[in-house]
Amino acid sequence: MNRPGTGLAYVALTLSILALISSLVIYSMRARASGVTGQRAPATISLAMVVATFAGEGVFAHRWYPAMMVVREGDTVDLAIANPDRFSHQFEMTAYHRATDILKPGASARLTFTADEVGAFEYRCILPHDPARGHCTPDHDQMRGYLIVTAQ
Amino acid sequence: MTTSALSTVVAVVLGATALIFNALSVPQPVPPAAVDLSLIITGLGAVGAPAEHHFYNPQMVVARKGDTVRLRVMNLSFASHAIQVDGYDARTRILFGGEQETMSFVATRGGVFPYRCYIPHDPTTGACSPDHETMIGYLIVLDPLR
Repeated sequence: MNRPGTGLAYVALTLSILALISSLVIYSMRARASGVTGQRAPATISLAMVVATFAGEGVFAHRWYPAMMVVREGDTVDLAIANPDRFSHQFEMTAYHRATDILKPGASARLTFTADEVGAFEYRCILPHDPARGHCTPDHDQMRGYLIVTAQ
Repeated sequence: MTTSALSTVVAVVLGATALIFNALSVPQPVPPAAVDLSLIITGLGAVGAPAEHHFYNPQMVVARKGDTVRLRVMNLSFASHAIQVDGYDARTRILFGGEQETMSFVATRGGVFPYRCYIPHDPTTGACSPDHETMIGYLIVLDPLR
């Protein structure tokens, strides 16, 4: 009747059942919260990405336009990158190890990659400012934008 | 088989199942990032004419909950403008044309937060512009981080 270990086994059994129930509840809540009902077909996001010049008050600002992109994990990002500026620029999506060649004034390039990593990723100009060679502009460091990749 | 042994076996099986479910439930950690972005106050008008329509570029900033948002606000407009993010304690001082100020905050709350100019249009002082009411952009904070 009073076998050693019986009490401990019941405690373990009770704890296990509680753990299992709480796990199932958390798991089902998470599935509902994320709205995941099945695999989504990946999309292709084709966009123009240009060097835009904003002017006013004697100040010129050069920026990538658009400065913000949002895609979902697995989507293909297809960028038509163009430089209508008077100076050369070079586009790089650092985290995805993708970059164009140097884009001289009027030049364009195509950059395609799959957004297979979730996170917030910077894109920028990687051609340092060099007035002698017509490379980029004094606000080189501000030529930045972000690609946000959300989970499936 | 004794009751003790049986319940021990059942406990082990249930415990292992619970562990597997827990492993499935825990999302892969995604580290927060810094969204460090230039935000320009600018305008568009007819060709060769002064700007009539003022806006923030970008008009939409997206971050994930936990990300640090740093906005380098620069006013390229001829009128003075400012910016504040509704729902966040983030605003710049009044910026005259050509001035800039950086504001930084952590996106601690998920949701949609408008950013707008907080100084009303006043032609006598050159504060903001007649289209003050439409100088609105949106900060989207994705929650959860993933």
